[in-house]
Amino acid sequence: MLEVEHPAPEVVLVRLQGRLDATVAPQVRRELSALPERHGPNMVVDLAQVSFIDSSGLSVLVSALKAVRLRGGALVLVGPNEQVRMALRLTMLDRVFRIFDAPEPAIAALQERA
Amino acid sequence: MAKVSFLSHWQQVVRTWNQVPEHRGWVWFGEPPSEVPPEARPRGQTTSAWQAEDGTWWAVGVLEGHGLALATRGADGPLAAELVRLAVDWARSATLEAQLTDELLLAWDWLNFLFSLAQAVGRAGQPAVLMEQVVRQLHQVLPAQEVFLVIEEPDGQRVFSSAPPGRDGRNAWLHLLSMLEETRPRGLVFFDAEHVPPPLQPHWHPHWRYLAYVVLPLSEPYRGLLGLRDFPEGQLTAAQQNLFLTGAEQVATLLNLTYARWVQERAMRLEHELSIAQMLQRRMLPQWLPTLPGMAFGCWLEPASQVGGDFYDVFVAPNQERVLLMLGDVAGKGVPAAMLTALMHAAFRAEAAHGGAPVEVLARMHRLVFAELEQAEAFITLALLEIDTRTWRYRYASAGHPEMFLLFGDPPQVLYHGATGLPFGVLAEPYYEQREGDLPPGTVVWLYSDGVTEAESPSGRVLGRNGLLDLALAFYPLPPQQQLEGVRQALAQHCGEQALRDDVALLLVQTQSEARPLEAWPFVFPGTTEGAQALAQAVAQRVREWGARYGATAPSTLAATWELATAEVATNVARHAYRTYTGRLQGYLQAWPEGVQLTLWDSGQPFSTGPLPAFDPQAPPEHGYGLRLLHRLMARVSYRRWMERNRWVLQHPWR
Repeated sequence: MLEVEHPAPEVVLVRLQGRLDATVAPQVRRELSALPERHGPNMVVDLAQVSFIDSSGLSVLVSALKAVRLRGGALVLVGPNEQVRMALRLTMLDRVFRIFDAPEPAIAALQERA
Repeated sequence: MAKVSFLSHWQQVVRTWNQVPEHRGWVWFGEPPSEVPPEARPRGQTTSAWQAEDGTWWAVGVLEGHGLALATRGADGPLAAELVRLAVDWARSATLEAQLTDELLLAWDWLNFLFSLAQAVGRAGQPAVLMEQVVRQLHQVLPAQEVFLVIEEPDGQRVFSSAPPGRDGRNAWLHLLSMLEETRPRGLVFFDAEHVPPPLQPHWHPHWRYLAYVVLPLSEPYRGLLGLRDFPEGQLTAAQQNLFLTGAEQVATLLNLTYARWVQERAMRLEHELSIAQMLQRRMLPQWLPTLPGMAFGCWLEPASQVGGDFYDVFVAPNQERVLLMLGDVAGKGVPAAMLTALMHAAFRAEAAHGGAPVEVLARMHRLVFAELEQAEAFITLALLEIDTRTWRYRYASAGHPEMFLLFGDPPQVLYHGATGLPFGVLAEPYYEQREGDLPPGTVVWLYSDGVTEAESPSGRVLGRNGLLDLALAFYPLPPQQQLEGVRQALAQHCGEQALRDDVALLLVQTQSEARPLEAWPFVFPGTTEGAQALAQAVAQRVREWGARYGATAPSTLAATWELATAEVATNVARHAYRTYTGRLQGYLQAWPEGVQLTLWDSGQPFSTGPLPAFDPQAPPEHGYGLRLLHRLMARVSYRRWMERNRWVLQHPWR
């Protein structure tokens, strides 16, 4: 469901898989919230393998964003598919998150920030 | 016995042997006939018993160039060998012109006895016939006053005796059998009048002198013994004893065989009869529901076991102006209840054609069947609905049938009708009342048996009146047969692994409204977040198919839109409406010329929401996206609280 990598100092890369919906949201939220403390405030969330997201999934992303911001970091999204883009657009969350096509530029952008 | 040429004796043996089915015998001089296999032929005079590859037993004996062969396909190969041995022995002694000893005389009699036994088994299907023959034949062979056989079967105990009724000692023999438990004798048991065992003494007749008996080695659950009373000098020769013991063994083998066959035949017959009954019962139900303008029917019957007590039938008057529907329930299960359903079908078909109001039809039907019901001590509940297709009015009468209801209007209202009189079989002259009303377009009438509302979940919860109403409301505008498909799904989910306790019968009538969708799909899912996702995915699949069929510009995108919208509304129901318990998500999806519509009903808490927080990209809220998405995705979203349930309707065009 969730893979974690540490590609650069203070940047954690999280790869999510499958459906990010109400059935898994509580667990994913818990796991994401533990990461900033351990790995540093910046987070790249790779959504390339996510087939479907609903409001619960969006809410998890926003929660993660808040947690990261509290520690002075930033959260960016990578590779959302058409359905996820639609959900982000309709909720105007595409104005809140920066979206990249691949992990490398996302990691680079976060490092620049630091 | 006069000196008899042994050949004619052998020929007599073969003649008797040939009368038994699957048995063949030969006598010859010189070369054996070609049918006798070379392997079966003995060396010298000794007989042999040999079984061929095809299962045939062969017993062959040779003496002074003469041969005797007995062949059998049955189980009595060893019997054939024994017979041939005796025949050759007898022939040997006859040739020597030795004086025929008692042993040989006995052997000859015994030969005859075994033949008769073999014949009896071939003919008798019933063990009783065989046992009758055994005691009679033995009485001819052994010099006893009385030969008896006592047997204990699951149904009870029986005594067969060679003595005439009234002169037999059956009481004593029954007690002898009951003593078997304690004594468990082996071999031949013998005692005289001075040594009668104490338990038997009260039943011992004063003029009786001797008794000998042996336990029959029968298979469970049968027990028995074979006995002789009062033989000369109170003595049995060694040969007689030997023969008696061997005979008992043979008899037991034959009895076991006969019992086994008998039991198997009975079981097969019962199974066969049950499957015929099931087929007949299915055939009595109307094979097709009539197609009438302005009316649609749906029906479903599921017996709890192979045959059941629920039934329904439909009668349409030749001019199609009058339709009569019946649904009923015989109290009880299994074959007796099933047989009464046949009676009810017959009564209905006879009386429906004669016309008259439902109360009159009921009364006439009751008069037809009351005698049978009284005899069977059975009650039958029965509902009768008559529809006049000119006025679209109905009349309803119910002999104790618990309930039915109608749904009409949009959103639908419900009208219940209970029983209007006593069930059939209670009073000789019951009195019935009638209800009547209108059937506006789109009305659905639900006739059902209480097996539906009383269907139990594994935890013992019944579907209930409200549970059925949930489904009726959720599927309301769909074609009746599709509604019943939804009911079937709901019952399967409700009952889970639990088998149906009672028969389930449903009969639906719908007066058709003008509007008809292109497609309709009923659904039932558990009201959990998992159920919500499953529903969303199922909706997406159908929208994709229908979109391609009905000209959507981008079926996949449309499907994704519907998947997300459905996930939002259904998850909302699962989380909030069903906050304190888990209910069902039920409803239907329809394709119209304009677009797709989803109607979702739940029986949970009312939906309410405060004003949605304004969206600020700098500080986005953590929650509240669901409703935002719903309204942005769908062209129309409507919510209504109705009859203590929630109804959501989502609509979106094809393009």
